[in-house]
Amino acid sequence: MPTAKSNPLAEALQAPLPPGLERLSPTQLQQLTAALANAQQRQRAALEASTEAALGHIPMLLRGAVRKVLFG
Amino acid sequence: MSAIATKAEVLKLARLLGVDEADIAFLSGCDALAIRALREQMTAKLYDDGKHLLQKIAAATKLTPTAISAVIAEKALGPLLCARVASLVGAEKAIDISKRLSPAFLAETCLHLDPRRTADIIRGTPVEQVLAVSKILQAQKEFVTMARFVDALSPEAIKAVINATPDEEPLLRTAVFAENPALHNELVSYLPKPRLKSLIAKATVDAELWAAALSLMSHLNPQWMGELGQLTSELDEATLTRIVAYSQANNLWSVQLLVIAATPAAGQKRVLAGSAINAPAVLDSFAEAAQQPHVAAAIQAIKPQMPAAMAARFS
Repeated sequence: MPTAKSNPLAEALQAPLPPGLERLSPTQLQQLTAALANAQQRQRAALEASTEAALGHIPMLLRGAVRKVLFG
Repeated sequence: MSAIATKAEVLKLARLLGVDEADIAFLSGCDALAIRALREQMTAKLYDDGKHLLQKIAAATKLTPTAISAVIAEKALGPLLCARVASLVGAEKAIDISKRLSPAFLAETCLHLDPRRTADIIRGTPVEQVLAVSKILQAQKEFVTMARFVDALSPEAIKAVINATPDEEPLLRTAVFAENPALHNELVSYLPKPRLKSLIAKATVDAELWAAALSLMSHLNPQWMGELGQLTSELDEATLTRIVAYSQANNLWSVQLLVIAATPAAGQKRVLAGSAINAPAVLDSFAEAAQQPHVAAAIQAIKPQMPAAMAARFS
């Protein structure tokens, strides 16, 4: 079974890969790792953009309280 | 059969990662359960990533009136983040918000939602809303997405979707991808006999659909497998010949023979009497499939209904 030490995907997942994926080549493992990293990056970017955008829809009266919850 | 499950898992993983199915098609050679386990690991990773901020958004949502939360959900968060935040908001609030969201937005959110983390929300969603979303997903041919929700939806919601879907083909395409095959008996039981008959007839249109129907049948208990086997045996001669061709071309005999064995004797006799199924190449395939003990047992069970020449081959 591939371990975190032997491939980048296991390293990214911080866990051994499930049994049955041993046949994947280093290139394929790299492709999956990159796809996961891209998905994480997209999610982070969407989170940051939408948090600020969301505040624009909050009524003025609530905006301070919501901003405090979101940004401390 | 496993090719169908593998195809579904590749598609689900592609959806999770936001890539094209073709980009990770190299996974098609792997076992479906291994791909599913990888998807679960990746899902956990994506849910954990940004969890701190997602939790804050969920906390802010609790402070915000439902109507405003719904506007924010559609106009600011978008379907991906709504899917991620949903499980953190609390089922009651999430259901209230979802009631104010458009079916089109909810359908898009479903593509990203993890039903296992949001089962309470899915189960609490009004049936009318489930119907509206299912209509959109069906139109988009999102059968794999629909199948992910079968486990989480209430029986009432599933029955409502079945009743509102006049064509059995999308039902078959959805059922075959259901993640918990144990549910297949339940799903089949929701269809009245004329609709089951129609489902079987529609499944014979092409080899891919027939493989899907056999995959579904392979998970049924003997009673339901026998019922569908009986309906199959009632098909006309030309259709039965086509089914033999599908099974022969796609190596489906290990399941097809189990279905025949579950069929009542008269039905078995009719299916086994066809000239196509008695072709030497087909009987060779039977013999090959019989290397699996349970298929060998099925062949022995149907032997009394075989024409003499076929029975002699398996003496």
